[in-house]
Amino acid sequence: MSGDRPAIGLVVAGIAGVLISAYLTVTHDAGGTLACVSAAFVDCDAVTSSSYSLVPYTEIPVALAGLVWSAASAAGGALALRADPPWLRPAHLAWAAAGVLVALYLINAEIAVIGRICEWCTALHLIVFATLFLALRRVRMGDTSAA
Amino acid sequence: MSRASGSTEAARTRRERRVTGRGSRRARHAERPSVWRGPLPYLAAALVIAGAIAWSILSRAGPTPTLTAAASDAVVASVTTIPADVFDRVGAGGLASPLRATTFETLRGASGKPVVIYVGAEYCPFCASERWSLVAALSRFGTFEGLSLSTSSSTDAYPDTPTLTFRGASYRSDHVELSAVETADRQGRPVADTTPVQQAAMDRSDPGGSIPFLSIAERYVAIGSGYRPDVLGGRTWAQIAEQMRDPSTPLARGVIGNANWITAAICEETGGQPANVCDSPGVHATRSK
Repeated sequence: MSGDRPAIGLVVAGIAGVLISAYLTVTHDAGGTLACVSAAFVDCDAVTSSSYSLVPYTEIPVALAGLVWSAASAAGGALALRADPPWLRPAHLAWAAAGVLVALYLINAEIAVIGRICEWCTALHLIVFATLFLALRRVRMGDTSAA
Repeated sequence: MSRASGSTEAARTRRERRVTGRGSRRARHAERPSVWRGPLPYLAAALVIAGAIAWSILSRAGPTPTLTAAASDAVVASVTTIPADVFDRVGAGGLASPLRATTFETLRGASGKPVVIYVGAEYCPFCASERWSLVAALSRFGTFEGLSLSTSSSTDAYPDTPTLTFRGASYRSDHVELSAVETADRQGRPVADTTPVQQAAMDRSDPGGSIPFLSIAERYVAIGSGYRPDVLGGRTWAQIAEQMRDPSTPLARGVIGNANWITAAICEETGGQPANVCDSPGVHATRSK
C-alpha cells in the first residue's frame, strides 16, 4: 500500500487544504487582512468580507467548512495507506465531488457577483479539484484490479 | 427410427448453438472495457469544472440597462415611501450596529437642526449599498427632490451595483439637515469637493478618508457599508426596491436593518422626533441590541 501514490497525494492535498483553510479561518475570526496581492481582479478582502464567506443561513465561516473538508480528505488518504476498506474509494470520490460543487458555487460568487477573486481561496479550489482527480484515480485503480 | 434420431441431433445442435451464443455474449461483456478505465471520467470531470467556470464568466452581470424616466421615478418613489410596518418587522435585521459613538458635540446646521453628513462617490460599491439604507432612513424624517439612479463602477468589486445618487438631489426636513456629496462619478472622475464642514468631520472621525463616510451630527459615525453589498448583486433597481418592502428577504434585512440603525441614531439627535418614527418598534429593536 505504500506504493499507492494517489493516496499519498490525497494526504498531501488534504494537509495543504487544512493549512490554507486554517489561515483563512483565523484571519476571518481575527478580522485581519490576508497576505494577498492586490491586482486588477484579485482582492482577498472583498471576497472574504462578502456574505459568501459564511455558510448560508449561519455565521460559520466557509473557511472553517473547508478546513473540516480538507481534514476529512487527508484522513481518508491516510486510511487508504493503512487499511483501504472497500467503501473508502467511492466514499472519497463522493466527498471530493461534493467539495467540487461547493468550490464551483464559490467561484461563481467570486466571478459573477463580487467581481474579484481571492488567491488563497483559488489555491484551495485547485486543491479540491486535484482531490477529485486523485480520488478518481483510486477508484480506477480499484476497478482495474477487480477486473 | 433414423428420422427420430436425426431430429434429436438437430435439437442438440440448436441447444448447443444457443448455449455457445450465450457464452460468447458473456465473454464479449467481460471483454468490454469498464467506463472507469478509459480517459472518460477525467475528461468528464474536467469538462464539468471548465464548463461551470466558463458559465460564471459569461453570466457575469454587465451594466444594468438604463430605465425610462417613469420607471426611474417609480423606483425612487418606492424607496422613499417604505411602509412603517416593514421597518418594524425587520428591526435590526440581524445586523450589529454599523455606527460608532463619538465624544464630539452634536453638530447643528444654521437652522439649529442636527446635520447628517454623507461623503461618497458614485464608483464606490460600498457607497452604492449604503445609499439605499440612507435614503430609506432619511425619507422617514423629510423629503428628497431630484434623486436619480446610478450604478457603481464596472471595474471595481461588486461591479455595476445598482444604486441611487445624491448628485443633483436636495433634502428638506423639519428635524434634520443633510449635507451629502458624491466626490466622483462612476468612472472615478472628480465631480465635487467636500465642504469645509464635511472635510472637518472626516478629518476628526475618518482621517484615512475612507468612503462611504456617514456622520450623524458627529455623534455617531459609520465608515463603510452597514451591510454586505452582495445582497444587491444581480438585481435591477426595480427588484431591489421591491425586495426592500419584503421583510422576509435577505436584501430587506440588510438594507432596512441598516436603515433602522441609522434612524435610531438620528432619533437620538432629534430628541426623539418625529415620535411616530422614533418610538416605532423597528427603532426600539436596535436600541435593545
